[in-house]
Amino acid sequence: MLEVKNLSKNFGSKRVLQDINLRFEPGKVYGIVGENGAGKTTLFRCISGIESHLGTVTSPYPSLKNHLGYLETTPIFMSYITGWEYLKLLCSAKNINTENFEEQNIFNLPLNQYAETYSTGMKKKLALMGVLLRKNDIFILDEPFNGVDIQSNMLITDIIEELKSLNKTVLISSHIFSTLSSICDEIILLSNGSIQKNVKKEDYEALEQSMKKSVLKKQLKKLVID
Amino acid sequence: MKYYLTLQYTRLTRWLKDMGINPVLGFVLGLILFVVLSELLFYKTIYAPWVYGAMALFLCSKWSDAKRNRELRKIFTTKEYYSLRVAENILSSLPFLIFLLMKTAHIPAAILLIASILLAFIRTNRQWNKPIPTPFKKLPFEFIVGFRKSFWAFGLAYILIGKAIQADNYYLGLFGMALIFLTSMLFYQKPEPKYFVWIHTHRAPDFLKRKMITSAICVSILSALALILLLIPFSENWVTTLLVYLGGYIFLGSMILAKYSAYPYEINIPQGIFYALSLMFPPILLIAIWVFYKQSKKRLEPILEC
Repeated sequence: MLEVKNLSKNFGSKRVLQDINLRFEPGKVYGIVGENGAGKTTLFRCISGIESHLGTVTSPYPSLKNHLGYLETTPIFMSYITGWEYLKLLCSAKNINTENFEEQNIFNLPLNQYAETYSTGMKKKLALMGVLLRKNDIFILDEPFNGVDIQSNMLITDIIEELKSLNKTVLISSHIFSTLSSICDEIILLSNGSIQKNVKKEDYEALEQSMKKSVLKKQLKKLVID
Repeated sequence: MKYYLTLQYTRLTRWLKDMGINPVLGFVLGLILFVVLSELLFYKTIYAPWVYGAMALFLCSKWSDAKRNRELRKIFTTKEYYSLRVAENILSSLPFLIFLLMKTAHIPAAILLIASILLAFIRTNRQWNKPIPTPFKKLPFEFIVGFRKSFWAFGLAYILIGKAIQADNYYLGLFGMALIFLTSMLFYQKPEPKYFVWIHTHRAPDFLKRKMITSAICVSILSALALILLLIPFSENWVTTLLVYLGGYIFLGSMILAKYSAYPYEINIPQGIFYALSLMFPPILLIAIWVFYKQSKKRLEPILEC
């Protein structure tokens, strides 16, 4: 089980995460929702260990990061690196000696082209493929559906279901509520760096309605569209 | 355009502040250093105006990067874009132009001015869809990226070695071999994004060891032929050749340690000065290697051992 206790994060004097307490069980999919700037990505970066933080993140593993796959919102690719070389880098960094990436190329990506020249969706798919090839137990997928075509979205949904059936823990953030509600066992609402709600499947509809009421309508009134 | 240039000035002052240098002091010191080095160059060689002009154009060429220019084209209209590029190049070459005029090198100054304007219309460093083949495909990532960006430098190194053999000029050949190591050192100049360190499952000392072994394998692939080419015709200088060759590995290893000693940031100015001094005085290098190793370990542990 992955457990986050009293996690807080400051950027300078600004507190971006405040006393986060969460438990994530194996074989379950957790959705994290919240407005832009709510702290979702920072929370993911803190859990993964990329960002330092206050509080603790405990897991059954001696080193959590060696069992954790993290898909960034906007995956970064170095210039002059092909898709194949990117996957090789990710695998060799974890002592995985596989090179038959073409066989496992589920998204039919042009692996011999420079990754930097890929479209947004292709970049996301390549990064996801890299995360999956590293054979982890916990997966953090930050906006996995963003910029990806509809067929691949369906494939990603299937991959998440498969990970769940393999008893993996999956944390996802997405702005597409319908996708989250169909695959998540629990949805966590993050607002201004704090956990506002922890919602089970049966209350998803109520959560969606309350989000619409409290945020969308209020915000839309501010915008003047001529 | 005016706002864009002001923004670049603001970025420069912020960078100096991040380096712990007062911007005014930074500009004054920079100017003094520029004048001293320029005077030194003109004192040392009669070809100084041409070398000087080439240096200014090299600086201007940095603004011609295809990716950077693609972004600028998105923001500005065509007219504004070209005006900005010309302004950038003239501003960059201005200190060199003033110095050349002060030295009454009117022809190089005129050529520099024209060339820097023309350079505004050229985009360099284009990334083609077809990747350049590299022998380092299975050893990501520094040498893959570096080789594709700077393969011409290795070609130049081997041309110099060829010329050195032809003209029986040992030191030119030695410079050619050193150029391979110097170019490889530049591959470790910039820190990679944190994610690319975080993905490693090794502890900090192992991570550093693997980086150094990979770099040693890659640089050996590039330099082994240069070593053989120098050892055969210049066999009487074999000790110097081997010392320089071995020194190349040590410098490359120290560069990796220097890079990670500041990670995830770039090497700051005091660290850079310390490193430059250690390269000039090898006994200091031994201390520098130890200091950089300790600092690198400290910098990498929170990312690799969390």
